[in-house]
Order: sequence, then structure tokens, then C-alpha cells
Amino acid sequence: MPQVGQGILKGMGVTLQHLFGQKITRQYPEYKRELPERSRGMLTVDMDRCIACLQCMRICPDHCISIESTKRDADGSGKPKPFAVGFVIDDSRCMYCSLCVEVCPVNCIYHTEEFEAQAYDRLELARQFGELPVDPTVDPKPTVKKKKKPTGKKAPRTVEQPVSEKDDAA
Amino acid sequence: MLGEERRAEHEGALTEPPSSRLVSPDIRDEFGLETIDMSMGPQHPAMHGLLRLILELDGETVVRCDPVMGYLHRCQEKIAENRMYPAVIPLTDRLDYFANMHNEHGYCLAVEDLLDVEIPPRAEYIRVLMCELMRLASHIPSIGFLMLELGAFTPILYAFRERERIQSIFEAVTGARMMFHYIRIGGVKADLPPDIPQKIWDYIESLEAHFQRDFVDLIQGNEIFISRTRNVGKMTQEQAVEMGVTGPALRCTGVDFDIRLDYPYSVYPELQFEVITDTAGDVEASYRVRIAECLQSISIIKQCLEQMPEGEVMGDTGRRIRPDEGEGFGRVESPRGEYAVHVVSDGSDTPYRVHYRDPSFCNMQLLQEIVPGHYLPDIMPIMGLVDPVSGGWDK
Repeated sequence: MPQVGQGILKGMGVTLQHLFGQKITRQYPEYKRELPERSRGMLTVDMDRCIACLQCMRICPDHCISIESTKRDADGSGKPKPFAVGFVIDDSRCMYCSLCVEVCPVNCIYHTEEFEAQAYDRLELARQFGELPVDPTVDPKPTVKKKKKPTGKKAPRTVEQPVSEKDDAA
Repeated sequence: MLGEERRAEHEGALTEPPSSRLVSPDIRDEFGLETIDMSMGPQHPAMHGLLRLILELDGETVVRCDPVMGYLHRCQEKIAENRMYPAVIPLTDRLDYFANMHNEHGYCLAVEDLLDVEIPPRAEYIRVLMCELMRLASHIPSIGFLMLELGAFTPILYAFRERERIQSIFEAVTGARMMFHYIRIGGVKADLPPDIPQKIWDYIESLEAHFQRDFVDLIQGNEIFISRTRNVGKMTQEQAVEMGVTGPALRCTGVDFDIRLDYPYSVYPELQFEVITDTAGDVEASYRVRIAECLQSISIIKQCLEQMPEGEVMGDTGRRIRPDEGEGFGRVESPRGEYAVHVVSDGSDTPYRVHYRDPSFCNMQLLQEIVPGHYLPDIMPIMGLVDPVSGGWDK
């Protein structure tokens, strides 16, 4: 029969070994570890490259990107192209899923290494990038409509012709 | 009185006490003894997440235990109906936040079942590699939590040290430490960075070297641990099967049910591993099962790294994912048991219905069955046996 107390002493021996080991904790605000290359931090936009295709706004599951776009001849070629006047990223909504970064055709929206965001007001977390500020409280995609299921055949339209009273009387 | 109605409901539980510790209802009535209703949680420091247990106590013995959930409910299934198929994946990360990779994997398997897409072999290996790392990052802290609930603070420190190291690997591969969004419909997001396979190998070697010392020598054989866990939460195979329990909680009773072997998915048929079972069916047995499963996971990770082929990591799913009308089903073995996803498509680019079968939710009903008859302090070790995660049961 094993002696009572042996198990506890064995466990204490393990903790004693760790007492003289290397420390594994780091003092965070003073020490900051290097982030890996793929690390996903807060989003930022390079407005010079943005072509206002609105794809990031459409794919965003949390509706955190709002874009105000007009047509403007920015490069002086004589042809007005879509131009993002206002661009807001609401960090209080963003969940860092990276879908907008993957969908951007010109790689103008990307993750930074920044991850410490704090504010006293929720609206302060909405960061404006364009010339004009966009209201972040307005949902860019307010109605989520289910698309009608695409059937092979087009259903025949059976709309009855309205019969007016005038015809009836005649 | 609050207890009266519920006592009538649970008349069966009172007339057939599961343990001899319970005072017979006749004696209780004869001497006018009263039971006390007590609410444990949801804001209890030792409780697993946001769970409330309504307890009826006879002295220190639990007569009845009713779990109340819903404190973390986020309408995950309904939100998924309004999102496009790929945009649901970051949401599944938020379900069982100790098994994020398994959640993503289960959902992707279900949608791939609908789409009938071919997944490149390298992507399959990366998925299994990540899932097994995730299993390590879940099992080791569960052991730590079990010990924390028994009053031992040291094991949780060692457990989280290991979890943090695994999370650093995940961060280098996926870009996030917990909410990965890595497994995609048709493959994985990106290939492993070139230095990562070596890093994983080194880490696994180092874990193997001190696993025995830090998690077995420290805990197994400790007299306090044995006296608090042996024969606590004892259940039979029949009870566990009837309650629909899966995962380590089922395997510790001796049923060798494992989705990886019984309903093989991904590349598991090509890998060598054992299903760990134990016969005792108590808290101590569940601890032994988890320890042995960690060692199995280590072996699977090594095999994955050795056998991993070169090639693409993303199958051809088309620019827009729009499956035909129908139903898809995917099931994976998450650290807590069977995690299954059922997706119904109506032919549009958003799912018509998504349903998650989460092991935390299904294992929870075990509490009503096995807790009555135990002392109040035994509830926490039993929670360690069931090991639910609040993101999982509330969805």
C-alpha cells in the first residue's frame, strides 16, 4: 500500500522544479512581443487607391464599413469615375474577420498591427478616412432581403387585369 | 412557495433517490424536514461560464439540480440565415470558444456536402493538424479547470502556459489567437507559413518532454485529488448513452464512440490513432481519458506533419457560393463530443436554415441525472467531467 502523502509530495516536487525555471510571463505594457506577419489588427484604408467599388461594404458581416461615393474626374482624364468621398470604419462593430481585405480588388483596405482601441464614447471608435465625414450610426445595409430563389422556369404571371367601374357600367 | 411546484414535477426523483445519502421523503414529511432551494450562478466565480443551477438541498445533499441556460444566447442560428455562406464562418468561431477550429470544420463540411466540391489533400491535412492542436488547447485547460475547481491553483497556470503557446502557433498561421476564420468552404484560407511546420514539431516535442511531469505526476496519485474525484459523478454506460452524451464524458464509461473513427471524415482514415476508453465512469476516469487523448493528439499531429503532401490549399468553389436546393450535414469530433451542423439551402446565396448540435448543450442534461445524491461541493468536479462551454450551449 502506498504511503499516504506520497502523491502530494510528488506534486510539490514538480512545483519546486518550476520555481527555479525560467519565467514565462511578460510585463505587458512595458514589454510588447512581436506580432506575426499575418496578425489581424485594426483596419485602415489607403484612400488614394480606393476605387469606391463598395465590395468591402457589401461583404462586411457586421455592417461596420460605410462609404459615401460620387462620380468625380479625379485623375483629369475627362471621364468621371466612382470616387469615395467619405469612408468610415466603425471599430466598435468590426470583428476582424478579414473578409473585406480579401475581397478588395486594389488592396487598399488592410490590417495594421494596431490592436489597442479604447474610447469613452462608442462613436469615437468610428474612424473617418474620406474628405467628408459619414454618419456611422446609419446602417449602410439596413434591409437584409432574402433573394427569391432562382427557379429554372420563370413562373407564368397571373395578374388579373383590373376591371374599372367605367367598363362595368358600359 | 417556489419549491412546491417543482417538487411535484420531480416527484420521481424524490421517491427514487439515486443515492442512499438522501433522506426518504416519508421520513422527511414525518419530521417536518424542509429542503432548501438555492441558486448557483450565473455569476458564480467557480461556475463554468454563465450557467445557473437551481438546486434543492437537503442539508448538504443535492436533491434536485436544474440547469438554466440562456445567459449568453446570441441567436447564432437566426443570424446565420441572413448572411452569405462564407460570412457565417466567423460566427461559428464564437460558438464553442474552446474548439473554434472544430466549429469551422463542421460548418464547412456541411456546406461542402451541399456543394459537392473537391478539397485538395494538403488542405485536409492542414485542417486535421489545426483541429488536433485545438484539441490539445482545449483538453489541457479542461484538466486545469477541473483542478481549479478542486482548489488547486497550480495546474491551471501550467495549462494556460501550454494553451498560450499553441495560440501563438495559431496566430502565426491564421492571424488571430482565438477567432481564426481559417478553415474555408473548399479548403483553408492560406498555406502554412514556411517556418511553421518546424515550429509545430519543436513545440510538440517539448510538450511531450514535460507533459508527464506537469500534468500526470503533478495530479495523478495526489490523495486530495483521488478523494475528491473517485466515485464522484459515477454513471453507467446505459445512463450515458440514454442521455445522448458524447466525447470524453461518454468514453470514460467505456463506450468507444468517436466520430473520427465511427463516421470518418477528412483524412482520419489515413492516420493511426486509438479511441481512449475507461471503465470507471467517474470524474477521475474522465481526467485519465483526457490525458490519454492529449497523447493521441500529439501522435496525430506528428503523423500529419510527416505525411503532409504539397499542393494547393483551396478547392474550386466558384466566385459566389450558391448551392442547389437541398440539405448538407457535417459532423466532427470536437473536444467535448460530437459537433454536427445541418445546413438547408433554398438555392439562394444565404442559408435557409443552419442548425448546430453542440456537445456542451447535449451533455448538459447529464447534470440532472447524476448530480442528485451528491454533496454540494461535488457539483464542481462533476462540471469538470461534463466540461461545458457557455458559448456552446447557448449559441
